[in-house]
Amino acid sequence: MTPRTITELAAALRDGSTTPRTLLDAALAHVDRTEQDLNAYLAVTRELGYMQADAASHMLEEHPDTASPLCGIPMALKDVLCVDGIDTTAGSKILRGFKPPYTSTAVQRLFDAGAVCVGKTNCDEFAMGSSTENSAYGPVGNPWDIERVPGGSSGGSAATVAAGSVPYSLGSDTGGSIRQPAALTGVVGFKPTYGRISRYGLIAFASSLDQIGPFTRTVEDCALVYTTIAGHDPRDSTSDPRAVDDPLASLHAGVAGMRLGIPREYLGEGTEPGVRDAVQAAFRVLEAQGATLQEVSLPSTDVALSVYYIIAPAECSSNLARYDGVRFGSRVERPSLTDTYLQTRGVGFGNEVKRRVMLGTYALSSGYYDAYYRQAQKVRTLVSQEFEAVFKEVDAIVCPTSPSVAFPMGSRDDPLSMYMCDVVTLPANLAGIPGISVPCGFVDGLPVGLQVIAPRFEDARVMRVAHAYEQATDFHAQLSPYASAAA
Amino acid sequence: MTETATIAAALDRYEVVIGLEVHAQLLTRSKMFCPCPADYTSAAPNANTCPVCLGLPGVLPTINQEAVDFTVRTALALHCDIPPFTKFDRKNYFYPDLPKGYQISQYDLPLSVSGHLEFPVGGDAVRCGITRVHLEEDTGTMHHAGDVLQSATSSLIDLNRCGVPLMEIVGEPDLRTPEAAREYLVRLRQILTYIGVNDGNLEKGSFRCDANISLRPRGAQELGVKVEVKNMNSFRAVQRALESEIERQTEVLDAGGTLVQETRGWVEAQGRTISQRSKEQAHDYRYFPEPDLPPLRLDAAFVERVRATLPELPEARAHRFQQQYGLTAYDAAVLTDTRDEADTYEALVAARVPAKLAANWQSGDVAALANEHHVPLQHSGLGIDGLASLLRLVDAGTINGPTAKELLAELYVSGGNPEGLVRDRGLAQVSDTAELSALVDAAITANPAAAADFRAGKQRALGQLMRAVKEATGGKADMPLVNRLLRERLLEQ
Amino acid sequence: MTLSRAEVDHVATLARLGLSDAEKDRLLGELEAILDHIERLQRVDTSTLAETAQVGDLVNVLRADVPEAPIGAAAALRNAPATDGSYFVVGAIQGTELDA
Ligand SMILES: [Zn+2]
Repeated sequence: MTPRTITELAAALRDGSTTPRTLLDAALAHVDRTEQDLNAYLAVTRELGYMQADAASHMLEEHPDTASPLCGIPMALKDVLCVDGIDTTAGSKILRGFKPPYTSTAVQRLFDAGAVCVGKTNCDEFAMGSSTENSAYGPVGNPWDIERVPGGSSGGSAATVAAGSVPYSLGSDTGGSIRQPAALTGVVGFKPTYGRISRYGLIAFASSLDQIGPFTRTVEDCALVYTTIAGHDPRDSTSDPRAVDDPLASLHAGVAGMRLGIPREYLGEGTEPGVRDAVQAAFRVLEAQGATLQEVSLPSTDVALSVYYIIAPAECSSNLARYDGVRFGSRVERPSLTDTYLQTRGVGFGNEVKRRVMLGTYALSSGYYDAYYRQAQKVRTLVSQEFEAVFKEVDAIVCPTSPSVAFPMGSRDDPLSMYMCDVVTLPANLAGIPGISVPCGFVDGLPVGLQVIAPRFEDARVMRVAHAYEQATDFHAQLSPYASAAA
Repeated sequence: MTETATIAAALDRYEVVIGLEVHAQLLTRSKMFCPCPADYTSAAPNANTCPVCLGLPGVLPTINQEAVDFTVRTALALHCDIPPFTKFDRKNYFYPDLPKGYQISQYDLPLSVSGHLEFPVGGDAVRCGITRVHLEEDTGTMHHAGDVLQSATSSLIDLNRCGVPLMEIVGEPDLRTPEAAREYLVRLRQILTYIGVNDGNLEKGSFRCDANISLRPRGAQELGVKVEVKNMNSFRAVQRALESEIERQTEVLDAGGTLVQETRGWVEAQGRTISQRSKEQAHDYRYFPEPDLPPLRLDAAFVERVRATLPELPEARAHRFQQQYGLTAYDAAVLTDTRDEADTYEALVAARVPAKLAANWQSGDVAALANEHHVPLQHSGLGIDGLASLLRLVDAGTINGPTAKELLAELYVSGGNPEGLVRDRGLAQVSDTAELSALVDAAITANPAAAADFRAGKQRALGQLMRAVKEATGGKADMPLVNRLLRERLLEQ
Repeated sequence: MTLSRAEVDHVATLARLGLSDAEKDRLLGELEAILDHIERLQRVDTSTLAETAQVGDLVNVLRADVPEAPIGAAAALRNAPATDGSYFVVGAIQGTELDA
């Protein structure tokens, strides 16, 4: 038996061939077998899971026709999503033992739909990183090669879907933290339009960039999860009130007649040849489906990275000020309050977090604000304008998700080289536009992702293009060794 | 020299430049950025909190509409402009009473700018510019175990107050004396309470003031070194702290010294300010736009809607009282001191109590009773309606002044219907000329010596005769009439 | 772009990060390298560009002034490292700690 999709499991739950408990048993057993190698979980929520599985059984019995397709199906949550009473650490030592007294909106919507929570997944500390090596609780193995990283920061959420433990999970994407690990682990990963999914209950990294999104095995599953969690939330003032398009309605519409743009700058010299070949092959598949492909230009791609590495650290330096050891989390007690603050934060935060807090504090500090933060905000406008101009010429952008395939753990110890991982994903965060990564090939047995980007609120269009590509290929059906072993 | 003399001498040589910053809590029902109740005094410590005001990981703020309305209302009352675009910013600093490590405030684009406040000081009209009125959130409160801050062993944090809407009103450095500074605050507080946005309690800290003060030699163009003074929790403290600062700065300058830019705290018990923080230690707040809150666009229609909710302001109302009710400037000022006072007055007049009579009683006996019982008229047993019927009885001559006074004192506490009581107890004034004339004759007959004395020119002797008539009527006699009848009778013989 | 060690000290204090000397030395080099890279931002002509603080066109997102039940003191204090049952407790504040 191979890992099944949400769609398949929803059918199986309704024809009586399985039950939520059976699915949860299997998921937990799979996690137990693979955690030694993968370290994808920071907490397994067995008790919560069984409670939800039983409630889901009830829902399915009572209302088999109206129950959500997610009802009774196991899933996992990146450990930056707050769940009432469940340990939530954001991959940081400073939050060890923290149990939020509330549940994030997106998660609550899944719970209301009957989702069954298997656990909280490992991630880079406070979602800062591109390899999940910055977790205070150890790195995550890539199910395709456990000596390699799964990407990041949502590495645990990507790995658990790639390993076949659960059919879907939630992650968060600030500069590529869903799409890049999806690419590196051979699954679908989607970052919706900024404002589409409530950030309430998502532990903030960079507020103007953060967005929650799903990891799934197929684009159709992605659409199912997205429609469940998307939509206005009065608790998040930046969540958009306009109606959400149903991506399922246009999913099968195909790409015939669509104009797709390939940004010249996204296939630059930093792109590994194997990745380039795989992505170019994907372009030909889309052409064969009837799309028109043309080269476009996003000239500020190079400076977008600099913009990102000012704005994200600046916002994070402020967002992380609340970790002071007063109301929650761990505290290092010292005779003076100032020393208590210094040591609590000095000991509680890891290197990458400290680096970004330092960088952001510097960029906002007196005398540097105009040169760094204000200038970055202006260039951010330019980045958005360039996307808008391109979207006058084409319906969507297609490009690699990551310039490289999964790299060996410990191979990128220089911060800047790690930051380069996000060079083709972070512009979408700066512009607040949707982007998806869908499997598009392999290089030496390691997955490659194709990224599709569209204008704001064209989330359905992104999924439509990705689905057309997916249906024409079978890369998404290829399984990591851990998923094959699930049989 | 006395303090006043010292200040006067200092003011001769130096020009004092004072600017005030006021923080006023808004009387909303819920907090600024979360729906917790804003009443932080009546709940147990930390009871009025939620994940948002606790600054827990993952939470987001939402803007209280009423707080925006109240701030705009204040700005309009202070003649400010309301720019079409405004936003919130984060002010970053660490302190245990600030859970998020930043305060959501407004930096470069506040809700309102360029207003002013006009008021008289010692007969002169003073106009103080208002730089801006902006909206932010209050912090929590800290209690220090141990007696004083410096020797405390631990600090206790209560976050009930954290997130209460707070308005910052920044005044221009247009004030030139401590007295003017005090008067500015009195007026500002009056306006805020009038328009119903703040309860004006300096002691509890719902209305707080910081002052910036500098001295420069008369005629100098450059401003002197600015000192910020904090910890003043009464109008008197503000005036005393500023006077003390003028003395201190004058001494330094007179001795040829230079002042340092610093923050000083007023220590009430010692009657002086002490240094808290120098410029070198100044904060770097790293303001930046709050990414969790979309900006506000306040169009003209919105501003006009808020303007329509503005009540008549105290100055205008006092002016109208003079015109409409023929009151003196003093009476008009007293009766418009608070909105309740003025509303009460107009309710009495509307209830057919003559304007002058209402003014005299309200600012006299009624004010004294309110003071004595710590209960305003509208919450007393008598109430506004009761007072109106009592005063109508006075106006109609049904009861005399002393009777009205006694009834007022009784009814203020116990309540009751004045007309009914006057009837039941037979308190109505005796003003029948025939009945009183008989009693006057009887009094003269019974007190021949007094009558003789009066006829001999001793005016005082009339008192004894008047008392006799009063007693004979059980105190209900129309005494002015008795007086007239007695004089007529005594002089005709 | 050269960052001084004093600036690193100052920023670490502002950010309340207790760092060892070795950490500060390492950060000095890393931050310099990042700032050098970011320097290219200064070459962009931004004279006609507005600032983007957040994407999207939302304005006037307001909540009605209606109080809701708070979570209460017990829930508020549950995660705290130190309380006395009613209050959060921190060590005493000393002298100039109000500052910096
Ligand atoms: Zn609250």
